[in-house]
Amino acid sequence: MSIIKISKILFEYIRRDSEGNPKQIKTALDHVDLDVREGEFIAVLGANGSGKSTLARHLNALLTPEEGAVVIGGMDTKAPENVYPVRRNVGMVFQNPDNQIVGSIVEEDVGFGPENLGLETTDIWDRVANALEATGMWACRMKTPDRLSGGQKQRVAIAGVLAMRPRVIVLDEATAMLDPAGRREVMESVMELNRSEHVTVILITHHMDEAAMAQRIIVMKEGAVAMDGAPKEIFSRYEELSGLGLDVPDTVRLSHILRSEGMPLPEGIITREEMASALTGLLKES
Amino acid sequence: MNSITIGQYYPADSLIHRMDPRVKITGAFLLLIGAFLIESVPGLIFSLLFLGVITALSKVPFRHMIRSLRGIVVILAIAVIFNIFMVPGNAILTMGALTVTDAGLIKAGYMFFRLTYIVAGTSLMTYTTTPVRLTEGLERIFAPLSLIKVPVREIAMIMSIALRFIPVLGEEAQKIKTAQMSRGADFESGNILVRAKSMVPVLVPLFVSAFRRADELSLAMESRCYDPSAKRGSMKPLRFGLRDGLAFLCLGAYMGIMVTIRVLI
Repeated sequence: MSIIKISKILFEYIRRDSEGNPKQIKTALDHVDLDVREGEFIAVLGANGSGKSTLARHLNALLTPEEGAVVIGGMDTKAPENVYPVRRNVGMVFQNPDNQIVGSIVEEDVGFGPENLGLETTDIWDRVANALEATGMWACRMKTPDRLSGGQKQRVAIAGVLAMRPRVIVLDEATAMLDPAGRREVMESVMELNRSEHVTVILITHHMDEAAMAQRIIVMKEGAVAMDGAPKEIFSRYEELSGLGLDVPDTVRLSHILRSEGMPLPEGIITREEMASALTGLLKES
Repeated sequence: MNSITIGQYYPADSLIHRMDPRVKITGAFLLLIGAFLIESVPGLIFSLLFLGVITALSKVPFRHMIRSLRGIVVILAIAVIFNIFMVPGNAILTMGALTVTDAGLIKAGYMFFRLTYIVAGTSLMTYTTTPVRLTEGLERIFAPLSLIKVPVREIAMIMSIALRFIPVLGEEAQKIKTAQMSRGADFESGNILVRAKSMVPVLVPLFVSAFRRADELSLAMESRCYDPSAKRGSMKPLRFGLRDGLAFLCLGAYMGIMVTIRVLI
């Protein structure tokens, strides 16, 4: 069943001169079509300015398309009465951890969303406790955000979104400002949510190793979907990706180089384990 | 910048921390009035004793309280110096055109004590109350104003966000300062005017960044369904308990004694 249905959306950033006449038009999204099934884990890749963040902001009605429609769980984001229901269903985690934490202690921040929904006090606490446990931040609930690491802050931000019980979580380059340990923490939390709570995850990222963990990868180019498929399939199109200014995971590049040097490695190696077993297989044969 | 502790929450579990914020707001206000009733030594001793007891109850370390005074050192110095030299009385010491008088010294001493007392009293409130509880308290105290179309809830939200971002911006200012220093900026030498001017290259990027943060924060709040016109739930609803009633009685007694001392002595 599709939870997100995007059909032919167009969105332009228009810069106007002092008289209000359009001076410069930049098409951020150019008739994008996309269908996301409930429970999917999708990574969105693309160079800077390819429209990834603009797409993300359409998913919870922060932006609405000029043409076409974004339908979330049957609700069109363009209808004003749908704005809050849509935002309840699609949670957003942004890049800078400090700029999305509203509360001055962890539990109060996680409670911000449920408070906005106008819930009862006991209900709010239930959700806060569940969200903090799901992200492994329960022990830090009384801390002030400035005592947390970057990875912990992002997990609080995820908990804050989770407390609204969304069906979809969109992470807009949420790992970009973190160190490797923080990135791993956040990725583990997100993958756990996807596995055990069946939350649909849309992960916008620059890190290929993160994208490799997804079930499906979407590559954007100049406001349009350039590629859409499973990680194995996408990473096998090595040259095409390089042409878009994108990298591939180290293992994929290594196997590509080895293959072009004449080693009979199979296609579709992504993880280190796959690489190791393929290489040991080759060694045994020779 | 980490020395700025005014308005920051000090996490601990104490009687004062658990108290209804409305009591603490009223308390801070009464301490402020009390500070200006101090005119004699018994008043001074009693008010010091009162503050000492509530500080001990709050489990906020004494060191932390002292640190909150750093922010007002300049104001303190100005108030004290003006009082020492400007109050007429019996001259003790004459330095050119300036005369130190006995009345001036006493007045300066009281002024010093009053200002310290006010800052310590109000920072005790912010140390023991999270901004969310504080704004909730203020919101409830000023709720009647919304009848005359004062946006009380919005103001309360703005206040709590401002308090939340004090440490964030403080850290950022420190980072910018270090960056400018590594490129040869000098913040230490020169008179006050020169040093104030040298802060411009720190303040401009700080402002730019604050605006960007505000923009991102508003997106994050919107995407978490914040709607100022909607009825919000409350995570920690205020319950006025027996303990809060007793605290109010203590505050009443404090005011009573302060007024009595003022009138009698």
